Amino acid sequence: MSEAEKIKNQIEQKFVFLKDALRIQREKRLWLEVAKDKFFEVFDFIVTQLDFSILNTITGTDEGADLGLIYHLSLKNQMVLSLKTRVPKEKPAIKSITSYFPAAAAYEREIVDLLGAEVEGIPGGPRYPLPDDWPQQQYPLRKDWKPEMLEQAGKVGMIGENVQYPIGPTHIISQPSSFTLVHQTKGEMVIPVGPQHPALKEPESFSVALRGEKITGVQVRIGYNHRGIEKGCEQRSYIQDVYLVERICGICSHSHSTCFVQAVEEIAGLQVPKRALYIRTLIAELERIHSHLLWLGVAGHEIGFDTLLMYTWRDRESLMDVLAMITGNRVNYGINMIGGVRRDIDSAQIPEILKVIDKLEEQTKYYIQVAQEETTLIQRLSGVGVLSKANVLHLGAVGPTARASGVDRDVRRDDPYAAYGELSFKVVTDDHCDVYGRTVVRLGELMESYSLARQILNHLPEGPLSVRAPRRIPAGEALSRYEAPRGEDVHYVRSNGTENPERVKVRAPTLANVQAVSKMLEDRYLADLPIVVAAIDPCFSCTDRSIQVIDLEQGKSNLMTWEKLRNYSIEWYRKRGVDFRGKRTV
Amino acid sequence: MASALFNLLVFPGLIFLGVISLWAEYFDRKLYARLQNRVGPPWFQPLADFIKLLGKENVVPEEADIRIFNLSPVFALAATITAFFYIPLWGARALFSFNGDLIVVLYLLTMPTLTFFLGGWYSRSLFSTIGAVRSITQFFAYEVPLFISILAPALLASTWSLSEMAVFYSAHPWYWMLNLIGFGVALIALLGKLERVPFDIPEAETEIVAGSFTEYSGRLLAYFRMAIDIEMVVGASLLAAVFIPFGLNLNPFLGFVLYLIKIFFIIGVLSVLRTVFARLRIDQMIVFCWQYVAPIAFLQVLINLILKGFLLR
Repeated sequence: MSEAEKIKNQIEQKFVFLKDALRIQREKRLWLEVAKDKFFEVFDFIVTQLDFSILNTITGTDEGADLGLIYHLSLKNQMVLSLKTRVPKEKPAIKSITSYFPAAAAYEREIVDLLGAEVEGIPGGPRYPLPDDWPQQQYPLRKDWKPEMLEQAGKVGMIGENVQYPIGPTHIISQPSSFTLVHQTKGEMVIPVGPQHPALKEPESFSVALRGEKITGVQVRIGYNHRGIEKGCEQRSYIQDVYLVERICGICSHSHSTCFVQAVEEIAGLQVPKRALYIRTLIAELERIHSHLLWLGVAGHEIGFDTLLMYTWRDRESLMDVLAMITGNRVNYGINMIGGVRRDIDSAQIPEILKVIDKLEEQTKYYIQVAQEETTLIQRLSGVGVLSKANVLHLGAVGPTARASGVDRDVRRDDPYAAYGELSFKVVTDDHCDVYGRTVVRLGELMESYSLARQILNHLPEGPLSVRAPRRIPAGEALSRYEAPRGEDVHYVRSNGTENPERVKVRAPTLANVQAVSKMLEDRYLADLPIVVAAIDPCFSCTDRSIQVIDLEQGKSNLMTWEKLRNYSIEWYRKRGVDFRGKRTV
Repeated sequence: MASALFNLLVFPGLIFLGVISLWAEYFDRKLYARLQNRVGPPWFQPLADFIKLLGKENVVPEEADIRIFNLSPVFALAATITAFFYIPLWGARALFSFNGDLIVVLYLLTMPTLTFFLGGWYSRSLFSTIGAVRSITQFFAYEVPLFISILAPALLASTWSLSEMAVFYSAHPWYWMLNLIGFGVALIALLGKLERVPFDIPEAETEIVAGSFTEYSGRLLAYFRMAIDIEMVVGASLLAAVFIPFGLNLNPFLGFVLYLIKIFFIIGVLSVLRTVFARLRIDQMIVFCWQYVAPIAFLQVLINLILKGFLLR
């Protein structure tokens, strides 16, 4: 009996009413729907008795009269059980699961903000992901929501202007100023690191309370980067979505597109040719290399070691050229399509790629030596941002952040996708539990990635590049996972038999990791803040993805020429009493 | 009167010092860039930056104390230039000297740090305030080793005048080699004084934006940057005069070239040091200065006292 069936039996023995309710989609994907009144009983059993102790994410869906909630839980061996329930839209109340999983707070806030669920018992904190002045009763991921409804809901001000804090069930999630007030009354200084700050590469905000140089509290506010990609995916076809999800992130673009494409392929039942899988894996590993080299440089910069930044980014450049050579692009590779890949690697390219990899490997060995010997570097990194193994498991950190605390977990090995099942590599872990450990893990992963890339290039199977995918994907759902450079990336896709997906949900690794940052900063110094934040390799454009697409032309053509866009902006301002053209002539 | 004005404004005052220090900044930046495998700036970049800043708008924060905010950069500039007059450059005699000018020079060189503190503190911005406090904290850590290490050669020469020290070391040409430990200590302390990596804690960009200088812009920022450049040249000149005082009796041209080689050697060492280190934390910096640097400086004093007792009798 397979392990999935064992779990099925255990659940059926405990709950008679769940006979044949559990669906085994494949060995590591289980689906179970439970009515709301029995939900927490089942949930508790699955989490505490069956040891599904990892929360991947929570997906909210619109089911017509109900809201659907899917809790994606996984075992240590990475078998994912997606536990579904429904709450009626008139009274969409559900209990928070933050007592089991503190990291669930962010996922629950998403459901509250985007779908209007009333989650009871989320701990206080700043609003996420919508801006503070978002009008009430506007839930953008509900199917009946249209961007025009924002205009009807009254004035939508600029952020900061005319801020209406939501009252009612959502008010618990928005306490923007209490943090500052509480700490100032204690005679502490609260400094704003962000949304704009030289330490940060993207807008996010850390309010840091200081007593002298010591940090006494941190409040993280994210969500400045929302572009409405989840909603946008629902309004576009699968083919367009591949390119849209690729633009979630500028570093791990391939991670998101692969993750999405895998989910769609699973629903459509497509058998992707081997050569395509190998090419996907190759791009994935090259992406990991360039991402880790980029991280190493950023980490150096954050601790004032600019020489390391200059060196690693110089080396990274040669890899970017390789990526451009293979795919035609430095960042948004556009190599994935549903059913395979778009471009082949010809045999003349292989020696060139191998040459670059050899050079990078040599350089990486040098960086490993630097990390082992350079005193100021070690002093700045060790003992900083400590996150014990227990804390990683409790707070749900993923990727190199988790592996640096001795948590041996890697989707590539545990839930193999693409070509990873046929390649040999070891999962790098470390027991330092601090920023130094995270550096060691990333450097080790670089070495593994070189070896993986070599294996792929030397044993690239022959065959076609893609299979034909239907335009309409049959109804179904799938959860796809991918080990991005920053950690586990999760995509949930549901199709309804049309050309457009019903729901696309993205959980980027940073959202899982950023919630551990406050823990890492406990009792540290202000000087440690930049490197601790950088050490999770945050990518906030990944994390903040979904909300409003204000459809500028009210649902007509989405293509705007430069001239049209310009005229639109002039019109927009004139309606509000500002006329740039008028001012210029007067 | 005319000659005093000439001294003050042209040589070796503002203009001469300005040219040398812009040159020194170029040298530092170019060397730093080449060590990092970058191209680096063209030779006129520091001057272009200076002129550009002079032309920029000068923004003063509403809550800042306007008088101190405006005066701080000027004081920094004035103090460093004044200190320069008492340092023997390529002759054994400085422009001005009296017994005790060593102490005056050291005190004048503490002025810029004080103005960083005052300017930052009275900017009233959060980042400036933290930067200001860090400046002054760091100040207490590196200043003591610097003073002690510079007093050691003075002890050997039995004088508090820089010019007389130069005369002494010219008379005993190889004695400067006895002070090499002190030289190392002074170099480290000078890194702290100039707030450069690994001691750029008060202006750590990724933590507190630009520290004390966060609110400064335009003309005032240009003055501050100029003051730091000049401080670098004056600091290097002081170290050259105290620790490597050889070849002071050459003809003026050769002497000038030798002087330039000496200060650019010192500035080069500082550049290399800032290439190879990461920034320390303020607590680590203070521990480092008090536990290691200060005792080594005392060791130099001890050595010189013993030498003085035995050798120079």
